[in-house]
Amino acid sequence: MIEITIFVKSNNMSFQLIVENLTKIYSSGRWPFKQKSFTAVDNISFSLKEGEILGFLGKNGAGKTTTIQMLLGTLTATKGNIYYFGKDFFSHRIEILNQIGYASGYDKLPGRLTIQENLDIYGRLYGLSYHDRKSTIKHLLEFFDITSLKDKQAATLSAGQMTRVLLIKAWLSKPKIILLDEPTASLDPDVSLDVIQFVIEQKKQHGTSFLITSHNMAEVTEMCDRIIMMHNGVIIANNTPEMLAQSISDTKVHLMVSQKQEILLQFLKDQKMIFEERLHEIIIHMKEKNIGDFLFSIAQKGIQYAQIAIEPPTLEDYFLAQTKKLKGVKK
Amino acid sequence: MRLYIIYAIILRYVRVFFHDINRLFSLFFWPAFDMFLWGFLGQWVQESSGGDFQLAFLSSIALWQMMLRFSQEMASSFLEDVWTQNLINFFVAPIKVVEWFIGLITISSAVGIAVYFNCAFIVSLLYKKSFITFVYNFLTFGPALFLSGIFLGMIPLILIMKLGRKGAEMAYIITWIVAPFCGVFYPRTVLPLFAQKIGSFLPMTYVFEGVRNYMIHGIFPAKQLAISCGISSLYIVISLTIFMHVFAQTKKSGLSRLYD
Repeated sequence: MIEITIFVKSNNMSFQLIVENLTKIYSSGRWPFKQKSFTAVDNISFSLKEGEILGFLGKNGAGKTTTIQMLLGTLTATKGNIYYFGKDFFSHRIEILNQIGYASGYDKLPGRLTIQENLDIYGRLYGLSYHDRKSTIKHLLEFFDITSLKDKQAATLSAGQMTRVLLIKAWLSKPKIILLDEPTASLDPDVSLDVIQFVIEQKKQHGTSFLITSHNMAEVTEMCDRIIMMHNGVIIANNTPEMLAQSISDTKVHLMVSQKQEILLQFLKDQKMIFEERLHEIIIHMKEKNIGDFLFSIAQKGIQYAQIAIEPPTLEDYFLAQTKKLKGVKK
Repeated sequence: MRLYIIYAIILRYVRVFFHDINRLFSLFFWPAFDMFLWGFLGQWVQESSGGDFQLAFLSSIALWQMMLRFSQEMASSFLEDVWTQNLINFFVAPIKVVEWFIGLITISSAVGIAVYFNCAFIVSLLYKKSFITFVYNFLTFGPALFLSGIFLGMIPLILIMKLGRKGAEMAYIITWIVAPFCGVFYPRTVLPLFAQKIGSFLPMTYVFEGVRNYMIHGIFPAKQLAISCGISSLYIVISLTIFMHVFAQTKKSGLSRLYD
């Protein structure tokens, strides 16, 4: 505990969450039979600052949801420490949970209760007054455009509608931290945009910190201040989306060739360059510094193009590159 | 312990209960069915044996129904959260296990009491028995049976916590397993010796024997009630310890595992 206080002060920042050496090892089989173990999360450490949106990226089975479950206390960690607001989670569980919101694209609410009844119960569990419950629920139902659903039973909602209700539940008590597990997994693009807007607004207006797991790179790039990328339970990257993307030097050059396409294709094959042939264009992968030389070479061969676009590397490129690099690396 | 949390938990279970037509139906239908069936059987036996056998018999069955529904309601309310995949949402709210438990016992008690007085009403209406007798029986034997009900209800909770959805069937069966041994429908003495011995380990056996003694012979069963409360208290402590251990074990593999 003392160490954490020193850490927070020495950095002159307000850390909402500090995770140290968090590990989860699942064991199967009972003594005296042979036990098998599987490390789902392997000695990870990270922190979350006040008003920061931290994205957790990784393939299925990377350890994102396992981490979130440990952060919520619904899964016991094998090893490691979790501190919220400088306090140990295990010895201040109730006090801390009062200030944390949670929503998952995989959870549901009691199906026979109406949306209003469900949200009212959760408002009570977080100790909200009648007035606060009424006004907050009304405001959030309007924000997510589901006021008309308030008297419908939860069981009748679509997955997208349920996710929106769970987001309202997560925000009811205006928590300091919100943990979101795949919040947009089942949402239409327009509703996903609402969620992104909601997250950014809460951060700006209330300084709320978010920890979000997602598969959607574009959405994560737009929302998150920092990304943690996980693979086989290990953190393989921890940086801003821009810095991660910039660490990839591969650029895509889109060419809409008007003359001598065959010559271009032959040239690319001869040079052993990576390219994709599309209906109206050819996409060529190359280092940014080589673009000038490449364009000069094709001009010399008389290849003409009607349109050219240079696509800088994205977070998705970084993710794919990392995944490719780590393919076959099994623990 | 915070009363507003317990109130919210109770309110939630009440709302779930009143939205479930099957549970509402079973609150009235099965107790009424039992009273109807066993009442006329009791009348026939009474006419051939003398004494108010029918009242003693129906008193036992009404109390049994109360205890059975009490313990089953504990399992049903918990299972509802497992079925609807709401368990994680519930346990990441700032709730202490003891608050959840008190809420669960309160709603289960309310259901048990509703079932008992439903039975009492039907008996007094159909067989012209005194409703006051049933009120007196409830006040005398009810507390001891509620303690037995908590212990009996803990068994399904432990099973569901351990096995998740897979434990649902067994959770309901387990509450019926004790019925042949605890002397609800007949005195324990008619059972074979091994079954009598099993019965002597069940706290509710002493209550039902007490009810029969009191209703037929007029002997107040103070000693039997004390034994029943003592055994129940011991079993509650043991079952709570097991439940907390199983809860901690389940959290090692994650509460979401219960949805499987």
